[in-house]
This record gives sequence, C-alpha cells and structure tokens, in this order.
Amino acid sequence: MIKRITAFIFAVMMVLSLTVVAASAEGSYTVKLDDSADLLSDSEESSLLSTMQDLSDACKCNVVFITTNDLTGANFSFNGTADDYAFRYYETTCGVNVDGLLVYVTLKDEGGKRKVGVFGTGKCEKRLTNEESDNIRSNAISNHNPDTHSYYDFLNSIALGLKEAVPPHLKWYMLPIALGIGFLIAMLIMGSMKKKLTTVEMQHGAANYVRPGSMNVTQSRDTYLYSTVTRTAKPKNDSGGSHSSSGGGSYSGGSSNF
Amino acid sequence: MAVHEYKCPCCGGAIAFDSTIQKMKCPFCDTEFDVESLKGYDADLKSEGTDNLEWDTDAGTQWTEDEETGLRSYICQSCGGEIVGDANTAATECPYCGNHAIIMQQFKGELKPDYVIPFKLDKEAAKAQYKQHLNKFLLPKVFKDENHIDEIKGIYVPFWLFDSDADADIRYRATRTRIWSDSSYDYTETSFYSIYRAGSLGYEHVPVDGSSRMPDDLMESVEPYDFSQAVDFQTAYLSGYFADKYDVDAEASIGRANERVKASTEDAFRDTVNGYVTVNTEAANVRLHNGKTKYAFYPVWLLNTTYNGEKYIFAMNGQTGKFVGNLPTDTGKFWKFTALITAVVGALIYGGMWLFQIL
Repeated sequence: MIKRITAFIFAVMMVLSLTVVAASAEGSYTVKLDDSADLLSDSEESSLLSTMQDLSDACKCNVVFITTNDLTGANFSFNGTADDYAFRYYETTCGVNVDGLLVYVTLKDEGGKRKVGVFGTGKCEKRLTNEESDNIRSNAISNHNPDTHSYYDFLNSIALGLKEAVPPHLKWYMLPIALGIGFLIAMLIMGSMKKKLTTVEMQHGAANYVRPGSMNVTQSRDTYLYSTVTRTAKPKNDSGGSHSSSGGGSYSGGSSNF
Repeated sequence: MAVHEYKCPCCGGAIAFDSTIQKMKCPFCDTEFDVESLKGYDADLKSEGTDNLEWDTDAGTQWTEDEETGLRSYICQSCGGEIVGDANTAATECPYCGNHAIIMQQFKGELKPDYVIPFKLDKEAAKAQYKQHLNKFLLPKVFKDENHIDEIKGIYVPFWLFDSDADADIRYRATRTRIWSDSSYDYTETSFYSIYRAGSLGYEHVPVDGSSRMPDDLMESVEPYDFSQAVDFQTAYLSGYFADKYDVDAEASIGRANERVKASTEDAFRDTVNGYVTVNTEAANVRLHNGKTKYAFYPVWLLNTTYNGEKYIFAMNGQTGKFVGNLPTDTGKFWKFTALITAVVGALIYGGMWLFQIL
C-alpha cells in the first residue's frame, strides 16, 4: 500500500514538474514602451523599461506601455475610443488575446480629457481583476499624480502595482482549503477501508427470496399535480473579461480620467 | 434421554457425514454410505423407540431450579460417558470418546425439521476462508499474526422459512425539474406528481433464525442460502456436526419476516417509478396472504477467537462459503494514513492551484 501511494505521488510530482518546466520554458515576451507623447526622458524610459522587463519576467507575459497626445495617427482601425485605441495597438503589436499587460496614457481621449488605462488579456485577463486595476490606477492618480510628481513616477507606480498583483499568487486561506479537501478525501478512502472490517449487519429486505416472475403490477398511475417556478438572478461578473476590443480581443481592467 | 449415533456396519466405528463427498463415511475403515441408503436404517432406529436411561443419582449437590430447566444430560452409547447439553442441544459430540451423538427427542413430532441443507464445505474450507477474511489493511498486525482460532464448530442452525404472497398499494410524491436561463436570470421549474402503484409479489423460503443463541445479525449476514439444494430432513446429515432445536417459535419469528418482506416489496415497486428527480413514499400498504411456514436446518461454520480480552465470532455459510465477522481496527494506522493522505492530496491540490495560476 505504502509503495503504491509513493509511486502515485512520484508519478504526479513528475507530471507537475514537467508541466511547470514546460510552462516556464515558453518563448520570449514582448516588452514595449511607446512614448509617442514624449512624457519621459531617455533615462526614465530606460529605467521604466527595466521595471517592465521585471514585470514581464515575473508574469511570463508581454508588457506594453503606450503614451499618446491624442487618438490620431493610428495605422490600425479602432472604434474611436481611447480604450479601443490601446486594445488595437496591443493586438497589432502582440496579437489578439495573447497573454499580456497593457497600460496607456493619453492626454486627450475621445472626450478630450487625460486618461489612463490598465488592462490584462490572455491569461492575464483572469489574473488582473477589475478591482485590482481600479486600485492600481487610484493609487497612481492619488499618490503619484503627474501634476505633482512626474509621468515616470506615475507609470512606474503602475508597473510596480501590476508586479505585485498579477504574478501567480495564492491567497493565504487556499492552503487550509486544500488540506480540508485532502482530509475529506482521506476520510472517504480510510472510511471505506474501515467499513470492510464490518461485515455483520441485518439484511434490509428479502430480495434474494422473491419468487421468480411473481412481480405483477396491476395499477400504475402518474398524476401531474402542479408546478412551481423559481427565478435566481445571475451573478454579475465584475472580476474580469468585461471589455471587448473591435478586433475581437477580451480584456480585464479599466480606465479612468484624471 | 435417547442419544443416537450412526455405527459403521463394517467395523462398528462411529460414522459421520462427509461434506466433500456428500456421503456418510467411516473415519476408521473409510467405508462410504449413501445417505439415501441409510433412510431404512434411520427408520429402523426410530421404530426401536427411545430408551429411558436417565440416572437418578444422590451424589453431589442438587441441581438448582434454573439448572434443571436449562440443562439436559445424555449417555453416550459408545463409551457410557455422560454428555451434558442444554435444553436445545440436538446434535453434539461425546467429550470422552468424540463420537457423534444425536438427541432423538429433539426431533419428535412438531420438532422434526421439514428440510435440511447439508454442509457442502468442510472445516478446512472454513479455516481457509477465515485466513482470507483477515486480509484487511486496517486489521491490527498482532491480530493477523496470532491468527489462532479458539474454537471452530459446524452447526446446523434452526431456521423458520416463510412463504407468502404480498399485495401492495403504494403512493409516492415525485418531482421533475426543468432548468433554463435568459440573460439575467436562471429559472427552475419543479413539477409535482402523485404516483400510485399496486400489484403483488411472491416470496419463498424467507429465513428467520429460530435460535436465540445465534446472533440474528450474524445469521442474516451469511445469507443467502440456495434452497434448491435443500433435502428432506434426515438425522444422518447431523452426524459429525452440532445442532440446536429451535427455541424461538414460528409465531415469534413472523415479525422479522414481515419486516423484510415489506421492505423488499416497497423497494420492488419503487423501482417501477422512473424518470423523476426525487421520489418519496407517502403511504405504503402491504398485505400478506397464502402464508406458509416450514422448519429447516441450515449449515453454519462458527469460529471464535479472543483479542484484547474481547471475543470475536465469525460465521461461514456452510453451503456457499460466504464468510462474515466484524474485525478490530488498528486505530493508530487509521489516523497515520489519514494524515498521510491528507498531506499528499492537500499538497497536490495546492500544487494544482499554483499550476492553474501559472498556466
């Protein structure tokens, strides 16, 4: 029994290891900073790119930061909004629904206002929730506002916020939950083994002694009585995947004026 | 009281029923006899009447009233030794010479069983099944290693067999569900039905243990018996085994037979109600008629062992070999492996959660 359990654990560990190795051995990722609005100095660009590279390495995904003065001059089609401009930019650069993080700052959005957007797509769509995106943007606007700090501080705080929120991480209570499920499964297995030790019990009925062919159903009626209908509201999905691009991509996150 | 032993016509030794060849066999000269051929011999024995060989001794202390009503003594016809049994002992063996003795008075008149299922499996088969029964993961190693049996006995247990037809009319409340959704809501429609079934079902040879000394759950656990292999009762089949006459009469056994027949009848009609998500019985009436009762002896091997001062009883169906008996649990092993599996499965699930995050 112990040998079988050990062999099983070893086999599962091997599969997990190979999967993790395969996952980590996936190809290189795009790290792109397009400062069309010229909000950053060369040294700031270099420093921010370094942070973006760290973010890409930690999240195993593409990282694209865009700054624009306005939404003109795009060499791709979009639906006229700042969000879609950024989505289509990303899709043109990396592809549709390819794992990645997208941050944009435009000085004039479709309403002529300054706007920042923080989005995730591909596997980052589920890792970056709308709430996390809101928090990262709020923190940057409140504590690193370019009006009082610099755009470098502003964008760098977003990159650091993403690095904290997006890489694979589990909540603290996941371990007790995993152990709890493990305990339930262990009790099922060991309980079935313990049950095998008890073989003495009263018979439930006399099914072994029914005279063959003696079953005779003389009356059989199924009468419909009434019906009830219950209605349950569908849960609103606010944790991601709530934005679609005109190119067919799906994104979590959000944007806000500041 | 009269004690009957089968003697070998060849050498005069005590002969016994051999379950492997299904014949009477003399252990001294190996001569075999058909049970059928002993029918005449058995009839002759009965026509001899019964001897009155009771002793009236003044020596020793007097039996108490309880002892007098509960104990019987018999004289071994081979060695003259006194065999002490209880009021229900029907077949036993002499503790002095080992000869098999059958107490003929226990089969007089209404006490005579209608049928007997002869032993098909011998003591060696019971020992082998016991060994296999101990092959359980959570059984304490000490119990398995010591593996000694205090006592092993082949016993014909008295059973009442009930034949009956059951008429039933049963009403159920059942539901069906239909689920659909639109963009905002999930809908569940539950439809309620009243189900009615009526009909009949026949039962034959439903056994109920007629011996208060045999635990009822143990005797029901070795079921089922194949009644097609039952034969008309002959005392010759008892030779070599122990037997008790019934001390729980048919009237007192009816309650248990009714319980079992009612439960199975309700189950059988419940199986005709299909296509529903839930089915609950609202009312069930089961009426029995054409009831008949028979008295039979069924073969059981009983094994006893002691562990940690506690007595463990095992039973094997002497016809089919079904072996039952509760075993002790190695509590330490139970919790050790529960902790091990918890840790392994918990780690795998936690690893899976990480993997889900990474991929």
